[in-house]
Amino acid sequence: MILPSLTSLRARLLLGVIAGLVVLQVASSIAVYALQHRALYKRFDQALMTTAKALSSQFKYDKSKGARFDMDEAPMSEFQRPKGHDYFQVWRSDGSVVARSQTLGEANLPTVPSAQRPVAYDCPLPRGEAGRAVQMTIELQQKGPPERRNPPQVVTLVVAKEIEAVLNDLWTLGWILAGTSLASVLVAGGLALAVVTHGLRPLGRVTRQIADVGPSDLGARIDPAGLPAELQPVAQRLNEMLARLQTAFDRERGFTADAAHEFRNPIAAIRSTGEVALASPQTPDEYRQDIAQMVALAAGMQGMVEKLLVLARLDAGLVPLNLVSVALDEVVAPAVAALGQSLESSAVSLDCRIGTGLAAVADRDLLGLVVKNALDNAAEYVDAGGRITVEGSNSGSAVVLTVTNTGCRLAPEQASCVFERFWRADPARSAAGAHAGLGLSLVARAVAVMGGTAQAIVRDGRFTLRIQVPARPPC
Amino acid sequence: MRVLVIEDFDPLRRSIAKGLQKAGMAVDQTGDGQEGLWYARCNPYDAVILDLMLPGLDGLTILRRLRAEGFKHHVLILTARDTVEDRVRGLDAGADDYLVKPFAFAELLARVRALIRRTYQAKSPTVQVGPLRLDTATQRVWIGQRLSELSAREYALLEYLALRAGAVVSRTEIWEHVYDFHSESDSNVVDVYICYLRRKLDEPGKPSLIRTVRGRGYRLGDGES
Repeated sequence: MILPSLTSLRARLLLGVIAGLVVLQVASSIAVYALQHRALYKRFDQALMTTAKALSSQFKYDKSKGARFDMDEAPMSEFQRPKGHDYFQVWRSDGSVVARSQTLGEANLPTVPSAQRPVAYDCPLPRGEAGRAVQMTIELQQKGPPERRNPPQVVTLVVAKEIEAVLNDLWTLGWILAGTSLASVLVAGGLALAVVTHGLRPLGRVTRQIADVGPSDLGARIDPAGLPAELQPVAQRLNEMLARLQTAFDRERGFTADAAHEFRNPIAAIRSTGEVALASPQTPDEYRQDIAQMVALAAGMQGMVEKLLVLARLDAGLVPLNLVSVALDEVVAPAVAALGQSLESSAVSLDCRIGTGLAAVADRDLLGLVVKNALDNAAEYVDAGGRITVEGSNSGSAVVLTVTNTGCRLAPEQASCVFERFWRADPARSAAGAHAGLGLSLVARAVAVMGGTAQAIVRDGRFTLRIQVPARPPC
Repeated sequence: MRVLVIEDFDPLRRSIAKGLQKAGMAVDQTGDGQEGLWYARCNPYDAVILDLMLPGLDGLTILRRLRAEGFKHHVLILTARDTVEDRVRGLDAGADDYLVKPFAFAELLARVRALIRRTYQAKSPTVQVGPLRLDTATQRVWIGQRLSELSAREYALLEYLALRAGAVVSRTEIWEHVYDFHSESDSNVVDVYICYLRRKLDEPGKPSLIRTVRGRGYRLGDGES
């Protein structure tokens, strides 16, 4: 539960560095200690072994008494001192003691189970000291011809010596190692703190730069110069995000400005028409014309407001979708009929080729809106004496509705722009305000919401709007 | 006074034209930039109302071309663009005034009248020529203390003569400043209206206020000025 609470990057890095250092120091200290321990014991054991070999040369074989040890012939003073810490003891194979050092008094040295080769081991000594002992078996040499010799005589010799000095050395070594380890961890930790703090400074700089970016200056970017390689991608991604945000903000701002601009003209016309009409008396016919004009302008504005509202609701996901199977001809036929009536007085021919049996999975009202706006757009831009063609087809998983009008003056590369809000090929309004470049944006958005796609194609002076709506419900 | 309206939004252009005509002005109107430039080159308009976003040729380009060619029309930019940068750009392109849509028609009219006054170096909205006094704001005319009832066309003709008081004004000039392209094409109509004005303004037994200068045109007021 400690790690999750370490939210600070600096703390985590420091903890990692210090933990690594501690492990390294402890391991190396243990290794140094173990090596030193082994070396000291080896030397100690070798000394004991040398003593034991020297002692073993003092054993004699006496035919009558068997094994015999002649202490006097080997004046090893360290074994004679009553309060000395060097001991030895010799046993016959039957367990009887051949000899023992004077330092032992009546005490016995601890033994280990008999082994062929000499063994060294730790053992407590008679006066309570910590000791080290070497045990070896010695076959005593017999003189004379082999046939006259007795069975081989074997004695066990244990030589022991107090080891306190070595233990003290090791103890001191242990403390020194612990002390230096602690000191080096502290010093390295401090250094690591300084290095990490310094290394993380660019992060703080990036943070401050981000904090300085307000909604009004999204053009600001994080300067990647001087940033460490690890932070370069962060800065890059942040800059990309800022760029996307700026684009979205600019679009939003542009959209608002465009909307305000689009409303100014009809409002100006309504106001101007009313004020001019009121300025001086007119004939009833003139009043009638002015009122009709104002009503038409208001209706155009109403259309714009409604489209904007639908767009805003579609954007916000507030339009409830009731996706059902809708027969395409049932939706298209009434819209085409209505358009046919309004085109009656013009020379535009309207051709609708939608067979029965084409069913899309769509929201009936929204699809109706899509069809109406697609047809309105075609009627708006068709040339005098031109043709509007409405066709339906099935492309496997989707139903395709195409609305084509002649008289298109767009360049092929402008085709994709038609879905942008308030976009028009010519920024000037030649139409009466109702066609503010919203219809096709609405088509594209509504179709997208229903899981379909809208595509604009300009070819040979014909504009084709290709609307694709799923024919089966989404899995 | 003759005004050109270049505005592509039909309902707005028609209402402006109608309002200006009601105010006694001769109005030519177009919704196309190229056509607008052509109109402006052809006639010495007393004021031009210019939209910025136009099909064919945008307003600022029209303005810059007119200024580059030395035309001295007084131009009022009428647009939906309302930022300070837009206004500065418009005025710096050579516009005399800038009005943002939507606007009060009375204000547009007052601004157009102000531009017309500037065209004739007049500061006051009232013009006094001898016993004749014109109020250009209300379009009323007094002779001495007597208020004269004039038709819109009669007033327009008198106002032009009054603004150019003392100078000999040719029939062509009158034609260019008081009539628009849709007026009757018979130039005798000027003589007819001069006749109407004399009948309404002149006192019996006194010399006419509007003198005929044979072969050159008409003059209102004394010739010294």
